[in-house]
Amino acid sequence: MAVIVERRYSTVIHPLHAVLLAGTVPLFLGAALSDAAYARTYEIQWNNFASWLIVGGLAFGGVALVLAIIDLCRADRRAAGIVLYAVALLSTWVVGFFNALMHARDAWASMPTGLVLSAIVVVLACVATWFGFCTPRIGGAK
Amino acid sequence: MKRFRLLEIAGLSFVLSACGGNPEPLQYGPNPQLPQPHRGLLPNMTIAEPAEWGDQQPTVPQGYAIRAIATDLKIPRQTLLLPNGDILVAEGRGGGAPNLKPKDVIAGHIKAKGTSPVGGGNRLTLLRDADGDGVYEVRTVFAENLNAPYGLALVDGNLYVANQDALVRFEYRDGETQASAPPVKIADLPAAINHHWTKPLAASADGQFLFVGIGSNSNITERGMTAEVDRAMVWRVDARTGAHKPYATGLRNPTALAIQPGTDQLWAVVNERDEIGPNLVPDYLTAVREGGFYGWPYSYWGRNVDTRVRPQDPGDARQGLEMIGARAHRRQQHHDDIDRLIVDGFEIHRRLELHEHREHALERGEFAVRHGDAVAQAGRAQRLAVVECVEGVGGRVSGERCNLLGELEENVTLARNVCANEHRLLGEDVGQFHKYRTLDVFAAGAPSSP
Repeated sequence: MAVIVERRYSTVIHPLHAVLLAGTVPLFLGAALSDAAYARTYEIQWNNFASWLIVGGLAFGGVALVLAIIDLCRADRRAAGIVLYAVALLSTWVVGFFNALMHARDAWASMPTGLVLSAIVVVLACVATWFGFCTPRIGGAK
Repeated sequence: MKRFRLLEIAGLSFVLSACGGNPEPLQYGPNPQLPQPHRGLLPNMTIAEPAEWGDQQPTVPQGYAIRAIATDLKIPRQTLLLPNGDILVAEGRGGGAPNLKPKDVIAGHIKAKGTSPVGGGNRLTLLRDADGDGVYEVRTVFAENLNAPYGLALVDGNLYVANQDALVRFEYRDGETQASAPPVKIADLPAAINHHWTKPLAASADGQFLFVGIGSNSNITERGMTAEVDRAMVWRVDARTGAHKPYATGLRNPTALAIQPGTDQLWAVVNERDEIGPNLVPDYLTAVREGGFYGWPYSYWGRNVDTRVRPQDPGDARQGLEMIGARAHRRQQHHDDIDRLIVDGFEIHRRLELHEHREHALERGEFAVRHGDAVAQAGRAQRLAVVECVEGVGGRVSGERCNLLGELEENVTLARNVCANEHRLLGEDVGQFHKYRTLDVFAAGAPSSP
């Protein structure tokens, strides 16, 4: 028996949004790995790398967050699950911001808290990215 | 005005107290109260708004007069009183360490609000008051095209100048208003990065040795340990050959050096580390012992280990002993009669301009006329005090009330570098880092001056 399915949702995230969102993962991951390298070697350059990677993650994640909030505010796009995604991304960004402040401390003063925060941020970024890509969107693929 | 609590300050050991309505433990003398290290998510930083002196003058106690003897200098730093009464002013601004972290970029923007837009003069200016009326009517450029000159010393007709990258020598004959020949280089000085670029200078009485202070290349090793080779120490340079050896180490940023007259004893005013609380770590004035280690970066004020440094030093206990020894020495010296002082503890405030801001550092030096010299030490009665304070809390302009000599008073800014003879105390004003003027203070009522 034939069933007519009306596709209201597309699972395809907007490419720009996708790039920004997915970009947070390698950036924050790079920061966490750099922190780990600093903790292992005491080589300060790793600490510098981590600081900039976190800023990069915040920049990407910040724009993605704005896009997510816009989606959230537009009733026609407020698909199921988008709130969860937005919350996950917001959490990522907030913890990432605190991590950036932590990394503004001189030398080892940023550690080990900085490493712990970095690891948490990576997990949060993965979760947010997962939710972001799984959340259906109204309007369909471009 | 925006307030940024970004960086924290320390105080001068002798000389530190709080001002600006934020009561803090007094940190004078050889055993200051040291709070626990603390740092919030954002460091404390308060930037005072630049302002001009205008018609205002610093106030001085009765019997003293004060006047600006030169204005519109280009970042005057150290001054040197020449035998004939002329004054040499080293003008320059060095440094330029690259930003490494996002923090450096942001903090740089903030700190720029509190610094002078004036470029460094890279020269020595000579001021002369030929008729002794207090007006310095002659002003000449003694030498130019130097590289951020700072430390000055004169021995036996040799005028030594510590540029930010080299120690040079001019020949000086009494009465000269202009160097007769270009400088001769004696030695290169460590100049890579130059996070702390000022190179203070003192010469041994016989002129054989020159002591040069070399500040660290970071606050607390955040530029890496390799950047600290040949930093945070005092070199002793052979004036004839230029050969050098580290004379004392672990001195984070020695900003002024002096030889105690009649002795070989070297003294230093040292600028300590930041970002572990508003009252850490006190800056200090100390006798410098040959071979002594004074803690930076591993520890401060004795055995207080700075946990921000990695790798930590395995010889920590030994260092502690060294430093205690050094401090004991200082303490002992401190209570002796010292004929002359290094009054440039005032250097402390320069941090704002260059690097960081001390929120409410209050400095007190003393001007002892007893032996026809100046002494800047705290805790002595019957001495005239040179008072300086950066009022940063609330961002008030600190040039408003300046009390160069007299009781400790809040909100006082003046007299960054001071040198003196028996009649006169010369204060070089930073006026919160924007009013670069040299002020002359007449000790007209000074007791027992010859």
